Amino acid sequence: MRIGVATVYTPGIFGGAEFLAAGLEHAFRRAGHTLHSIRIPFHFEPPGAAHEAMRQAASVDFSRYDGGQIDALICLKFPAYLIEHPNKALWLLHQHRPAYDLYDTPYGWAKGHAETDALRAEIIAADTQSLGSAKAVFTIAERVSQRLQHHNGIASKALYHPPADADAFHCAEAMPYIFAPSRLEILKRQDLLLRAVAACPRPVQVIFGGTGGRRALLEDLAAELAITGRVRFLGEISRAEMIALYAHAAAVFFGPLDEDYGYVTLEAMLSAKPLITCTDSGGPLEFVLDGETGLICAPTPDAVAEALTQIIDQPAKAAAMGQAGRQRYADMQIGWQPVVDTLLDGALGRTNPSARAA
Amino acid sequence: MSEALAEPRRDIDAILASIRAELGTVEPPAAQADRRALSVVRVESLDEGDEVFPSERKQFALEDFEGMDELAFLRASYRAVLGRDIDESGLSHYLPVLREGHTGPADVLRSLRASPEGQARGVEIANLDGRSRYGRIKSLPIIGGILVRLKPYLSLPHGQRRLQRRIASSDRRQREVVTAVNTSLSSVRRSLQKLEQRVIEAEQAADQAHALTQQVIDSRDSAVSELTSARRQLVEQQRQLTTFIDSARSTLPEASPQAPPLQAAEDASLDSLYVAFENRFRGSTDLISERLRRYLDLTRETPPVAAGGTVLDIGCGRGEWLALLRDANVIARGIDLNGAMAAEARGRGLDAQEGDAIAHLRGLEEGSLAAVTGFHIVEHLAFRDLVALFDAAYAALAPQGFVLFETPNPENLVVGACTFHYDPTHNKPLPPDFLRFIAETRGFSDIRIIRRDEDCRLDQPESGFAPAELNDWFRQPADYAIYARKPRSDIAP
Repeated sequence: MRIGVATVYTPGIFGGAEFLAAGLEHAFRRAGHTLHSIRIPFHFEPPGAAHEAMRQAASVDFSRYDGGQIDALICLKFPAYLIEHPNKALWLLHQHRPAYDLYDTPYGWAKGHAETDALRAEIIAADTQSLGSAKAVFTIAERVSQRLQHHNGIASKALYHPPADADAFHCAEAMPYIFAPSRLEILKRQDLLLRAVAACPRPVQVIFGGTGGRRALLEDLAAELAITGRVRFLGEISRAEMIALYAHAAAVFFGPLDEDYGYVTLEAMLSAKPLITCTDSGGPLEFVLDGETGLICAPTPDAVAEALTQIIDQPAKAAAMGQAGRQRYADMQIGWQPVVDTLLDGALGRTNPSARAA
Repeated sequence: MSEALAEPRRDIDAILASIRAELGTVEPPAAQADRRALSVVRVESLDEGDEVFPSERKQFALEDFEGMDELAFLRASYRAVLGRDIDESGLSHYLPVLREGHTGPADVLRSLRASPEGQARGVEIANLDGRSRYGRIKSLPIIGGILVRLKPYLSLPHGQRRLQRRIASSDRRQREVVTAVNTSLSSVRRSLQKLEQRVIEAEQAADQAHALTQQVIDSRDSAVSELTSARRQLVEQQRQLTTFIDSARSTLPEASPQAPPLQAAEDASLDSLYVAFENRFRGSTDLISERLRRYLDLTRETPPVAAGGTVLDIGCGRGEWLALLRDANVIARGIDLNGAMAAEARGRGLDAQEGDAIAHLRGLEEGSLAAVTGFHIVEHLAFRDLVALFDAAYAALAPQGFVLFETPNPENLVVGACTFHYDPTHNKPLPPDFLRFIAETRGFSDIRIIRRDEDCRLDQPESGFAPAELNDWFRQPADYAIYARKPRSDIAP
């Protein structure tokens, strides 16, 4: 089948969205389809650029492309999902955030500006209309679905995809340390873990993987808490080293603030390790079953310390939770093939009614 | 698995080292030369000296806890009586009072055993109650208070005894440590020796492998050169055979002496028709010049041309290519079967003559040309003449000289199925790989198919053709060229 995957292109940017698009396209090709990458040029600045990009996206017709008929179109990002196509499915990473969850925050558009407010109304109207015209709407995670329901009143279904190198993750002999991989940024809350280590009555050891602007700050905090001897910041690590550190960990900590999805959760499950996360961490909560595949605690040092103590005092239970996590990953059938099948079924209208736009 | 976290002494750096050692083979080969040196030698680590009781042991005597310093005693008694490691609060409570002599080991053991946790575990400690008089008296009001203040004096002799036992015990422990260190050292020395031995062996093996590789390379090179010379001999013999046949044919009587003049007249009228055809379908002189310009650089770069050699353009037509070469200061002349075309070229001041290219090439001195070019010529030739053209060009070329033949590209299906056949004098479409094959078997080397402009850069790989879609068969460039060199004389037999 001839499949189009439409998303936006901003020169110089390669992040999670681009990884997702590349992974999806690779999966479609592996499934034997002919794939056409469609990229709409898009710039964030000035705000008016969004208006122009919307007009462009809405005016093109990709039903015939490259000398042939495109049978199904999968759209990933704003404004690429405004492209009209009779067999269209959406797989949303997020909407245009300045107009939605970031609106009226320091990160998005300020309230009360005539220009951006008009644009916001235009975007919300166009979104509601075009999302409604799609045969099926999926998102990458339940959090994104919740926001879509909240802002546009559109029902959607979360469709999970695997992290990179999913086959390489494995479980090996647990060693006495907690692994905490992710960028060292304020929203990832490594400082919470450091304070928990200091508050924990057991001698916990932690290995942090990843770089970020807060490294010096976190190292100072560790010194201040007198736990420098028990924590290590590895900075940037190779993929192979990261997988080995997952494999040997006693448990994995991932307690970000309101994460959309978070590959760390899935990588811990694939490595059969229990995940310690927090009640306000967002994405991880869709996967972790408290006390069964990991521990969900309040985002306070004492509560996290209590979770760490449990992991240390009950190694057998920790290992069992890890295995249960791996089993849960298998039960949830997370993989590129299910993603491809579901998106295609959705675009061609073969989906069950629950995933259809309301 | 269960020992994982119950082992706080497994240091975080040791863990990282072992995980990285496990990864060792996958890690990038940072410094090739250093890979023989092993950075980590496993040394048996020294025991810290804490008494470790098996966790299922439930019976102890006070003497089991003698000869330890305060910290070791506290750790041992927690493990024995409560079955777990001492926690921070226990340590901060007991360590100072023990060190300052406010309480003794027996009191600690007693209170641990009396705690709810200790009662639940139910460990028995012999001889504990015999020395508990002070403890019991202490609990009495008034007398207890006085006793507590007098205690350091009362217990002095007992304290000295304890000190002596501890000194003796540390001596013993020190001797054990020295022995352990020595054992570790000698095992380190042994493994170093083994390591050195293995390094030497590995170096020898590497040298052998290197010598073997060299042998293989040498014998491959000689095999290749034998093959090349065999192929060249074959080509040479074929050429001689052709010459022989031609000379034999020339001695035969003419078939019909009256035909030539008649045919010549007919040919001349067809010639002008063909000029008209070219003007209609092949494009104007300017357009053709523009298309040919891409071959200029690779022509000038070829050593014999750079050295001032001559380029022969067969089927030179109206002389577009000759004019380009002249403007680039390359010596060039052309030949064309079509007298009208050759005359038109001469009219523009170019060196062009009427005649048969193959016969002309055969008449040239061997090695006298730097290049033989031909645009939209080879598709007019019958197979026999095509092979003869390659052979004659090969003979006339200097070493490293080249042939360059452009022809319609049947990879473009519209060309192959339709436009190729506009020209009534075309023989049949020639797929790129077919021409490549002919050039290869006639002794040429450095063969490349030039489909796009970027293929004219000889230092870059060919762009090739890998169709993925039906449309790809319609989007191929309408013409392509084959470029092939005569090998250098120094690798000739």
